[in-house]
Amino acid sequence: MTAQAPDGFEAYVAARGDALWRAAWLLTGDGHLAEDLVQSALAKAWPKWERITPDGHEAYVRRILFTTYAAWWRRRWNGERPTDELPEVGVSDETDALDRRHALVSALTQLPRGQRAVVVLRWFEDLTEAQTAEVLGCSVGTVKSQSARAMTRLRSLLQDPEGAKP
Amino acid sequence: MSDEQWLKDHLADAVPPPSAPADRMAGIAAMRVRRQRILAAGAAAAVCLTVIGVTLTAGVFIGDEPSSGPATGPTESSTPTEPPIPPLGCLKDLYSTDEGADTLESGAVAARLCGPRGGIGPAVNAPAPHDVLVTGLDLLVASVNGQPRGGGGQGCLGGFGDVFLLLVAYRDHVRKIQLNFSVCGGIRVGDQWRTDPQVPLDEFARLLRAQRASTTPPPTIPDPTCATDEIRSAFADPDEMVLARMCVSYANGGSPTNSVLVPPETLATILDGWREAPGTPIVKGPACGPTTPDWILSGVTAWGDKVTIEAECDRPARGQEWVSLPPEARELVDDLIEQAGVNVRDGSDAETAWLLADHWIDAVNARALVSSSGAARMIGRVANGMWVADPWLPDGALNWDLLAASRTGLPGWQEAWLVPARTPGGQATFTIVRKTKDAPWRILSLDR
Repeated sequence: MTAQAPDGFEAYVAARGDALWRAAWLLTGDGHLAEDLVQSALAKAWPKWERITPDGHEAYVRRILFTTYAAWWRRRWNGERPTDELPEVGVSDETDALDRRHALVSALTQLPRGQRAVVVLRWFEDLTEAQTAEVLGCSVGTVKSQSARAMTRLRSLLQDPEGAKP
Repeated sequence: MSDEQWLKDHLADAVPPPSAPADRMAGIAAMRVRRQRILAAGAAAAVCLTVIGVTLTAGVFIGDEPSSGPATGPTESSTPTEPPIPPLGCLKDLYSTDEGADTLESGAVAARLCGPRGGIGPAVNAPAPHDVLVTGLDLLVASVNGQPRGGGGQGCLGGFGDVFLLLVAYRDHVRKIQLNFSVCGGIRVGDQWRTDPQVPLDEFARLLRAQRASTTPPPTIPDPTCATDEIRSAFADPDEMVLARMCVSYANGGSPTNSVLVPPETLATILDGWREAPGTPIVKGPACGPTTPDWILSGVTAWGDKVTIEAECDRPARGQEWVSLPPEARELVDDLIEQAGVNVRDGSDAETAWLLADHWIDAVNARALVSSSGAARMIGRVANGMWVADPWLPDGALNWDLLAASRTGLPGWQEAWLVPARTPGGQATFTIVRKTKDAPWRILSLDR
């Protein structure tokens, strides 16, 4: 079945799959959901793959990934459940560093979905405001306001006595 | 280190290493096949609704899920020589019957529910979904055939209860099954009756929900409108609403229902509060005072199903309970009630440039009148939403009289109007534009 994939598709999955998974993990906070999200996005991209120039593949898949994430939120069967227990996190030797990551991931999961998407695109994917707006299908003004709100909220959530942020 | 740089560094650090999936590509390929089949089924169902005589092939949406093996292409199970599936457009006459057997045949390929219509008075069930069921048809058929014969009777046309018409499509014909909830009702199959129409109705709802879990909602959904009657939906829960309108009326009667669209973030907070709030059993109390609002949060789901949350005497209900909304949600509801009470229009239905300016002035005045700061913020957003450029929102009320309108051109916009307004202190001119003839009017500037 994989042999029927369009030219370059399989190579793209091999090269970029893990990077997409990382963004999906920050959005969903769950490894399995992240994998589902990545596979869903790539399955949606498949039929139009050959109609898009190779330098447009990354933006196209990223857009599908984020819009699929938004659609999952609207459809509640994949709704997120608040939890006191953090999902899986990176392994580290340093307790302090681990705590900081826990705090950051925990704060991220408390942001509204739109703000979380903006945070991931702007500061994880390192996109500009204009690129973020294009991916999310909204105005640059919305990205700016969502970014500002997200930063304010993150600052507030991370100002714990231990000082999650240095 | 700036906050942004700190965030960049630590976000990258926070993500765990991917646990390598067994075969990501195989997973994508399997998902691709499922999507193709589902999309084909959806397209087939849509075509069935509108086009008569279009040939659709059997393999597109019946049969077992394909194996994930590398065997055949996703559409190779199609059989071009299959006869077309009959159209499944809803009929006006929900009491329609057919002359088929009193037992439903196996081999159904699609089903659609139509209605309901109230026997006496309006229907109490929500309108049937727009989507066509193309999965689990054998289970649906079994839920009809499994009910014992009896109930109903010839000429059962009324009584207190809704009537649905269930259309069950086969390759070469369509069966019309009446689900009649009136006191003399039942399930009518051919010329015979069976008992308990609730069973196939519930089964249809269950199967449709399962089908929706693996399909994509339609790209557009209807705008929510204010319900005039209690609505129960078997197909969706109230907290699945994604768009909603706050509809407010007062127990003293006589006043029309005012309404306001609920911003998405506000809706999410209210629904979260409604879902989680503690409840107490509903008991009928004294009548509401004339200033106590009755309100309905009337919404639509991502699939276009109509769902409602209703409040009697300002107490929202959840099933057989009253719920006490948490403070944040309660405050938002109060803001919406106040905003709806002043009936602010958002300008989307302004047919002329003049009306848009008029609505904007109304909104500015309403904002100055309301007592709640939350309602004032919401109205401010409505007023600002009427602008295409950076909005201007005065501190207080405006006392402006709009004058005549004159037309002028503006580069990049197909139409633009100048709307002069007179104030006690002078004169101002709105420049109001829209991109196309059908696009909404928006304020570009206001020169004073």
